[in-house]
Amino acid sequence: MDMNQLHFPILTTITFLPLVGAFLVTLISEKNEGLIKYVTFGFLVLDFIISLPLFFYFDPTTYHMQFVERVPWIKSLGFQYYVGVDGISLFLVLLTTFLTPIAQLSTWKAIDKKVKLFNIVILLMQTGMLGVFISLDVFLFYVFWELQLIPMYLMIGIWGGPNRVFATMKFFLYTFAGSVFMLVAIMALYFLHHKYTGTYTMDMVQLMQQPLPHHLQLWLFLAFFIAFAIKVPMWPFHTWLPWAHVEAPTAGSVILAGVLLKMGTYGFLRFNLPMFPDMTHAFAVLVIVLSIIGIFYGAFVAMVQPDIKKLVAYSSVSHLGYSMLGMFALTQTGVEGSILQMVNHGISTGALFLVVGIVYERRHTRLISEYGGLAYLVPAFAAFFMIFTLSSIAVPGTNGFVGEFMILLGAFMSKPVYGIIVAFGGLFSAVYMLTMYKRVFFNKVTNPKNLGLTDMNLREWLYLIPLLVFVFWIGIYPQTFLSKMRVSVEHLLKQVNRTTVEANVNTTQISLTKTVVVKKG
Amino acid sequence: MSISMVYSLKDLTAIIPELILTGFAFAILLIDLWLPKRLKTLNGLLALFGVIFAFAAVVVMYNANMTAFNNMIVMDKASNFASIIMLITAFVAIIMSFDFLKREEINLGEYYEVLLFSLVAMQILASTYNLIVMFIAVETLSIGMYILTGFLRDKDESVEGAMKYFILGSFASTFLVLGIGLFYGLFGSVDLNVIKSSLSGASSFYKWISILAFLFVFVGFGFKIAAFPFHSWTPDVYASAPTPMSAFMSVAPKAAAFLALLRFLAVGMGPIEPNWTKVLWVVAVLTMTFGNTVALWQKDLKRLLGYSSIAHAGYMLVGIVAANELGYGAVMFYLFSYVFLNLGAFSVAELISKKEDRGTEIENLKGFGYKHPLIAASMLVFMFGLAGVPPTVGFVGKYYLFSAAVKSHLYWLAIIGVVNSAISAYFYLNVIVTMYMKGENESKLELFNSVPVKAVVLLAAICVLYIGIFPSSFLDIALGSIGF
Repeated sequence: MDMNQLHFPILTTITFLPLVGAFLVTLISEKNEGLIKYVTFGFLVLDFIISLPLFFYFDPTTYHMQFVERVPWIKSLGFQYYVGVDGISLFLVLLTTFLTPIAQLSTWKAIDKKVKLFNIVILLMQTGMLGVFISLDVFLFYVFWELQLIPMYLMIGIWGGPNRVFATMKFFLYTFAGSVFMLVAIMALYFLHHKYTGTYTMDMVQLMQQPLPHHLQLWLFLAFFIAFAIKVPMWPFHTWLPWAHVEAPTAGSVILAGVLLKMGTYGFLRFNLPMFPDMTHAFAVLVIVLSIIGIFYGAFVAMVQPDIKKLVAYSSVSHLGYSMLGMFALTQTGVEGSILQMVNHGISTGALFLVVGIVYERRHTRLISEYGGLAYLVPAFAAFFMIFTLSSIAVPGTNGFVGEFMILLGAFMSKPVYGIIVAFGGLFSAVYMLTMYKRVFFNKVTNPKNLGLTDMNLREWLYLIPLLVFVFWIGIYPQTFLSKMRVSVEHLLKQVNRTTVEANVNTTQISLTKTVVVKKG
Repeated sequence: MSISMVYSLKDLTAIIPELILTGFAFAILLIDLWLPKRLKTLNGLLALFGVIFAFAAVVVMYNANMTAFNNMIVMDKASNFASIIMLITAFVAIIMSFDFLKREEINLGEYYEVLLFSLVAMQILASTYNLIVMFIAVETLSIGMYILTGFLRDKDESVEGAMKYFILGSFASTFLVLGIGLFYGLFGSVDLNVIKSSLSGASSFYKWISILAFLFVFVGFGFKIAAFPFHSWTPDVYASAPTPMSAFMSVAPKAAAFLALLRFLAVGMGPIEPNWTKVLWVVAVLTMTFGNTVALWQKDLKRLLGYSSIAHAGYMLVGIVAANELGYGAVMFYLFSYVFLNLGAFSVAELISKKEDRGTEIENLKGFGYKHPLIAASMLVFMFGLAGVPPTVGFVGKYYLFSAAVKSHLYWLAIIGVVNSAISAYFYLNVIVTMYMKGENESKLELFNSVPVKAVVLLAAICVLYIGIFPSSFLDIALGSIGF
């Protein structure tokens, strides 16, 4: 059932508006850097404003796709331009439109070379990311999925730190290698659907309903798993992430942590869970074990990092472990917590990268040992940093708490032992975050170079305040957000828990087994 | 079987495009004698017009389906589609040649004549079910290619490349003619349709000999399409030939040879399909893996493109191994997409080359991205396209090749193919890394001042993106061109 309550191609507009912006920016002279920045920022803010009706007009009572648009694309093969959102993708779309202008605003001073190209790249990235979250045609999804690799690749490679070339190569090759497996799986899915139904389609909603025999589910699940696990990144597929984060410019890290990693978790929700329910159950334990390892591994490695940014990067591995754990707990609370945690991680970790960027811009170092006593010198900055730190370690009242609590609850409901183990993970994150905070902001000012530090300027206030608002909004009244995803999550779990499909598809095989049993008997 | 040597007007209509090209080639031959040195570009213009008229003829007769000269020549959608690919390639190669020949001071009419004659041979190769006609066409086009490879007579590499090409090429031809001889000995015919019907009822002994004959013929074709292990000439020849000719050779003869191979396998060898798909499975895997692996170490852009073209031949073989209509159509579409990707990349190679066609090392591209933003951005598009990243035409092409393999349940072949794409991403990205991420402000690279080549680069980049995003109608034509 298609519904577009706005009768306006809102998803297409928000997705391709940045592309129009990118085209306009190419026409501006390279020397006019101010204009380039304002035009880009204007387009991104406009994009955010246009995306707001998605939230207000979203109907939380149905799991059907909403704001749908459908146009034939490659007719002879049944591929469509088919877009829409449900309670799962809605927040990821909004997170993207919300975070990108903030990220761009943070680059105002930090990016001082190739400003024009940088802003074009940011606009292209916005189009690619939104495309991933709104696509309901698998082929279209894959096109956007790969497309957004290019801008991120350029962003790290051109504006990144000293090891940027190695970092970009590792980033691109890892994710590209992962997604080619997904490509083969997509092809197989397409032909299998034809085999069972006689129609060629890449329609995600239809493919989700197609029961598949176990042996096929197994291979397809694994292929999608590799692609998404690299993207998330799950332990042990995470090794590209610290490199990419540390070398990327601040805006790149914010977008990478805030949005790109969510493409991985989103992929699990869209493909692995509803399309291969039996394998989801079969692999749940393994995924949970990997997630738990990730939670602890990320935390332990973060503890010994001398570089603040690297510390935050490893904390991502840990936080996304939570998200994966909640998802594969396969309970309503767990999955809702997982989705909320995706948004939370985007906000909190995005914000942490931003504040790290602010201090790096002033001192050009991210080593913890270079700092100390900053709280006396730059109090406002210290306050912001504190709040985001607390939200990252999930202190009650902040967004992180709600997400982690729901995940723990979901894990408990699934198996108490998961909950008990993971509860300790939260402890460790407090250890490394607070130790870092103490060393940077408290004690005495030992490094004279820090004496000249200036507190936050208006622009910095401007882009951190919206993040602050969401830290508390989600922390205090998460209902605003949870209510929108409830029905979609219910529907998702219904799909995951549908009866085993072997009976539907391979009746012949089953009857054969029966005969064998009878003969033996 | 008696062969009548009488032919009618109807026979001639089937080869109108070839006749047009031949006519223009002869016109150049005559006019060139009277042209003063400064007007030699006129030869190129004549060749260009020949290509345009031939193109128009092909388009007008696109839907024609006729046979001529006692079934030796067919004109069907497939041959016309291949002709379109070859004519676009020739068109661009001629445009690239204008300023090139002037710079190298070898502005001779022969260049265009040989080009047009070999083009005629390619079109004949693409439009026959007759093995002997195929052989003659292969030889004719090869002679043209040998000459064009060695056209930079004062450059040792060029001569050496031509020599290597010639010796290895003759060797391969021997196998080809041996295979054809075996087929004639077995079935008393060189017509693929006759061979097919005889083969389906043949005894197992005849079938075994046929497989041997097939292997011999495949060696000949394998050489033309640069499949492993008959690829070794490719990088040397591409690197040493004049750049416009490298570009031409990497697309046009391949289009012809792939279509001829398709006809040979899908029609003539239809009854022993399980046998040849097994052989080609191995060849496809080795070809793409070898091409991609060796390309990782290349330091010269033209050599890189040479090895990459070996890999791409491997991808196209995947479509043939799939042995379904989707696969055959995908091969045609891939060849079509390859026109824009490869011509674009080679045009950029020509733009950075210096006199004597040197200076195409990848190192020279340092800082290129900022010194010449538009050309570099186009190169970025070509590199991502060759790596098969959406939304470029390269992705669509690969998607169909591999999905044809999946359709035929050749999952491992598809997986090896996509893993190869991932490997290839490394060296294509390396070009981008050099352009944008190294030596940012120190580029002294001056471009070869040729407006037509620059226009070709930009146009090719636009096509790569446009067809990549709206492939529908192009796909329909490519998939619909295969009717055998």
